[in-house]
Amino acid sequence: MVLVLAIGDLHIPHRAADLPPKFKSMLVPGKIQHIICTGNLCIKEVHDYLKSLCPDLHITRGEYDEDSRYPETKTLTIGQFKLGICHGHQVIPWGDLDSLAMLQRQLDVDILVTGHTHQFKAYKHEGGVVINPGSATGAYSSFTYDVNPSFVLMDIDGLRVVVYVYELIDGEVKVDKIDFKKTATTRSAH
Amino acid sequence: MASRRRMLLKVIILGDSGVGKTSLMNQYVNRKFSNQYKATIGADFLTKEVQFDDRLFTLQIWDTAGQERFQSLGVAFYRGADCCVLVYDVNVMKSFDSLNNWREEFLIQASPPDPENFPFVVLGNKIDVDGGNSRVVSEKKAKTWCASKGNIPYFETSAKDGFNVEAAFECIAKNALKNEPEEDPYLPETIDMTGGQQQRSSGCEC
Amino acid sequence: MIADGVEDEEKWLSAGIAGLQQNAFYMNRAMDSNNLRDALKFSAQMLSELRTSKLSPQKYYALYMRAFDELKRLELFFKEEAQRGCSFIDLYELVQHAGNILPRLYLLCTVGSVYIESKEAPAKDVLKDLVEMCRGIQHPLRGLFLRSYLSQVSKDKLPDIGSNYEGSYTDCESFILLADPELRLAIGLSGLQGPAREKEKREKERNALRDLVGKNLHALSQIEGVDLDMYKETVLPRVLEQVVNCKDDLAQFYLMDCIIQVFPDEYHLQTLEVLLSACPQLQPSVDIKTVLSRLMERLSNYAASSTEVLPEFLQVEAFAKLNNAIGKVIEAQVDMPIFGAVTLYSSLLTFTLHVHPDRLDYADQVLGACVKKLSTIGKLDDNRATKQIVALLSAPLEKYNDIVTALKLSNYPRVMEYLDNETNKVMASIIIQSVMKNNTRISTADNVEALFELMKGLIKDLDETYEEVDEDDFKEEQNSVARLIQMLYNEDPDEMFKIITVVKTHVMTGGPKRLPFTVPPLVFSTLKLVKRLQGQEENPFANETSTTPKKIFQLLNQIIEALSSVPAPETALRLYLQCAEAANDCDLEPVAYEFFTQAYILYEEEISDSRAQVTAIHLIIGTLQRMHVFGVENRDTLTHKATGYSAKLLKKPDQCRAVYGCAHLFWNDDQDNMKDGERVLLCLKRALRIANAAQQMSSAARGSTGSVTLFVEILNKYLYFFEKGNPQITVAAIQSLIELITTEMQSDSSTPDPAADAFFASTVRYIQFQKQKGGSIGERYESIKA
Repeated sequence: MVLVLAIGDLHIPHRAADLPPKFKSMLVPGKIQHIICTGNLCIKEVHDYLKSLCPDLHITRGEYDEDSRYPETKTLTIGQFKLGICHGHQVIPWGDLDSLAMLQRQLDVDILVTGHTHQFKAYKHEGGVVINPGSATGAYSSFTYDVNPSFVLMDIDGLRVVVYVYELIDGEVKVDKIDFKKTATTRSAH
Repeated sequence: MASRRRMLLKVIILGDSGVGKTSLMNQYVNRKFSNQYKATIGADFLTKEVQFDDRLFTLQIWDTAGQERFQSLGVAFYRGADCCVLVYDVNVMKSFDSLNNWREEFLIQASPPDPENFPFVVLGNKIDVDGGNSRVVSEKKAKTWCASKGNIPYFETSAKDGFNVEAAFECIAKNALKNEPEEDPYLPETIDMTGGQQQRSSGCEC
Repeated sequence: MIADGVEDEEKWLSAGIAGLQQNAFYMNRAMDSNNLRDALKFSAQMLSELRTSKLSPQKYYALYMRAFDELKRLELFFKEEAQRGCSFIDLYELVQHAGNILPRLYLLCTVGSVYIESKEAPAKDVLKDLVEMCRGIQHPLRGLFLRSYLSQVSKDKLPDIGSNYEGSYTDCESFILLADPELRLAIGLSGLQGPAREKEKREKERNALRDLVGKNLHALSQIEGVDLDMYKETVLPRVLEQVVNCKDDLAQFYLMDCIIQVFPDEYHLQTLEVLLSACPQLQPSVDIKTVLSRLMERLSNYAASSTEVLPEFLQVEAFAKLNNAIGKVIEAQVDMPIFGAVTLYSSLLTFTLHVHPDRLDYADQVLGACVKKLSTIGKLDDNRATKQIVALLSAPLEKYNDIVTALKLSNYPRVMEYLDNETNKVMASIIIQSVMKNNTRISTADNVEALFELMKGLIKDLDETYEEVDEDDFKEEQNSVARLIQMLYNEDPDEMFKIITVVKTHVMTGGPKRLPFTVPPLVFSTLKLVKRLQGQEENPFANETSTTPKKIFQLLNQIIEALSSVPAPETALRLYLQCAEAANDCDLEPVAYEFFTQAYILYEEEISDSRAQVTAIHLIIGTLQRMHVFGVENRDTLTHKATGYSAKLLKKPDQCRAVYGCAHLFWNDDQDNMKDGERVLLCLKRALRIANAAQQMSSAARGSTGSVTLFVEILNKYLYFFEKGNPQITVAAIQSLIELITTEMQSDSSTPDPAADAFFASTVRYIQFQKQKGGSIGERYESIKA
């Protein structure tokens, strides 16, 4: 069993002062094995904070990131799953599932994690999964009127991945669980 | 007859200023408690007779100044201690954090022959304050620390109510008794039965 | 006098210990065989070691402690002797035979303590006798230790209320107070002897010895008979009288400190006037600020310990008395360094915050007094004083956990004025940290104005001189300002607009170094306000002054424009596009068009880095794709430009991707009037041409054709629009694209690319997947062969 934190679009300090305290108290070092971050952190302090939670940190570049060395896309393999990360501002129309699916085919991954819209999404798509963890700070976005802070924890175990969504709604943390199984029809040769 | 040395057990109480060292001692020896805070200057002791297995011992309990500026003569009185009591206030984190320093300072200054096994006892005092609502150091945290330092016995006390004070000092006395006495390795070079020694002191004749 | 070297001293100590141990050995042997005479003889010889003058106080103490331990055994032996029938009178007699006075007195004290315990004679008589005799030792070091011994062995035998020994305070008073003046004299005098060059060393020794004196006060405080009345009427006045009379600064300082520490807070409160009135009578060189600071610190802690004690403070008007006393001390001691005065104000402020948390006027009064004192010296350059000011200004923040309360203190900013630029910044950072830690929302324009006034050290350059600042420090500090901007918020749009206007005014003075940090948070904070208004119905009663999106967009334009002076075209472009989208949501076409125009100008004139261009194009196309406010004409202009920029990117693959991205500008699923299948196809064809050109270039330059990735990407885009029902995308076109890719992949000249192979394989799998789906989608895909 491996815990993977998917997080992104924090936009600190341009759009939010910090992560919500309730999230901070949940995110403690030592519990998470990997962090995948879709980008827009935006500053080094946030990078260092994530690094302190878990040293295995994978970041792609958001359009507001101060550090220009982050790659546009990144893939990695965790257990039986191949994961792809991309901020998402490169994929037009923004947040469009069919367009993201093309990126998923291009990266040839089971799970694609992207951001940019600040809206939490998790779809099962052609046997793969497309996830948007939303904005961990509830940062301003032109996509919706109100952005609830959210992040995603993925519990990867064998051929199964359980996606936990943590969303802060009116000061309370709500947790949702979505279960995905990798089926035999999915591509197998990585 | 039992050596006089063994009848006297020396105990040192250490801890930050205001944690209740004097109050614990007063509660144990005199069964008295005062809410008023009075700082201690230098080091001083009270004695109490205790009985174990039909033998009578004198417990010499040294209370010390928690504030460094009232310890101007140094800590020569640590020497020959049979047990060291470390006290903190369960409502003040800093006083708990200081325990390590007090312990190390004691081991350096007293330099007991077997520092690994020198008996310490830790007391978490003032558990009565605000019905326990203001406490910031959990019992678990304290016990973990004690365990990591070679299983130091731990007691939660209230010098105010007298809670656990008797039990704590009983444990302190027992541990002091277990401690191998620090014998000065003194062997006279010549047994001079006349005892007539030269006075080497050069002080004035007062 | 005392040996010069530390090594010599060690040698003397070792010799003393050796002699002591040897005699102790014989003494113990004699005691084991119940030989009283020998025990006394050897104990006297043992104690002779304490006659040395060669040791420093601390080394002497080490020797004394060894003797002390041995005397404890002797004491037990005396008790046994008494049980065996030896009378105390006899013991008293016997110990008189010791040849030297010092050993004799130690032995007398030891016997005396056992004597008192036996109750054969009144405690007070024995004690009085012993005290008198101990006066015989005139040497300060030896005398003080002997008295300390007497005090220690008789401590639990003092006649006191409730003790085992009859008597009252007046009996033991003689014991303690008799000893005191001499001791103080001793500690005072010892500083006056010897050549001046040894002054430092002597002071060190006196400092070491002081606890022996302080212990007497401690013993006094432990006597139960000393209740508040007796303390007030007798003890304190007499002790203070002696303190004042000893005329020695070191002793006075120490004894005042002792009085404050050993007696309880309740007593201090009830005798504040008496205690404080002694201060001006002390020697001018006494460190009075530390004495008073410690008193206030103690009382502050006492006040903090329980709300039940607060009435005590009010009843005695503690604040007024302390305030008055401090004022007098500062006035009287003209030479007191500013550091001292600030320390006093800082302690007084902490005191009043604890005791009178509701009296902001008191706190402001203290700050005001501090300003008055500071005004006599101008800007501070004393490091310690500066640190104290930081402590002073931090105290209200820590107490109230709310900057808004601190902003009510009119003298707060005036104190800050006296800080140097560097410390001013430190203080500003502390204020921001306080806001962050407590999650304080600052909700009025007036408070924001006051707050930014306090923080001006971070907001702009305070003087002309260029300061060398660490880049990382600067970043951190400006990022903290950015965070603070997030904390300024009011539900009411009009007040929020005022807040933004205030922040804008301040931020605009920041200069090119700060604007890149402060403009984005301000823009987003403003966009949040726009969004709130956007949700509201147009107010028919709105007047000139009410806040409208239009007005806000004008402000936004000005704010972003300021970035041109930096210059920071990439950030500005992003912000213009964000504003364009917001204007779109407010249905303000001209405004949205203006923002787009600004973004395009920046793209054309300022953004030249090819990678930056690629990202900018993504953002332009992505934003434009989401716009619905534009009429045909404006829309055509903007899409035409965007397509043009795309085709002019430096690298062919970037061109190709941007161009097929532009296809989405002509097709919007949600809007039927936005489905221009022909132009979609034109874009895709153009992308295909670029991909071909890329292949040929690669072939010409490297001798092998490049990857087929671009073709697979375009195939996917064909499939995308095919699926959406674009009639221009035909099965034949898709089929020929698949064939093209297959041919390319099998060609000898192609470069193997496993990633492209996998991409193609998964695209083919996708086609199969869609076929199997059935329904209308399945039907569409039916005819595609893959």
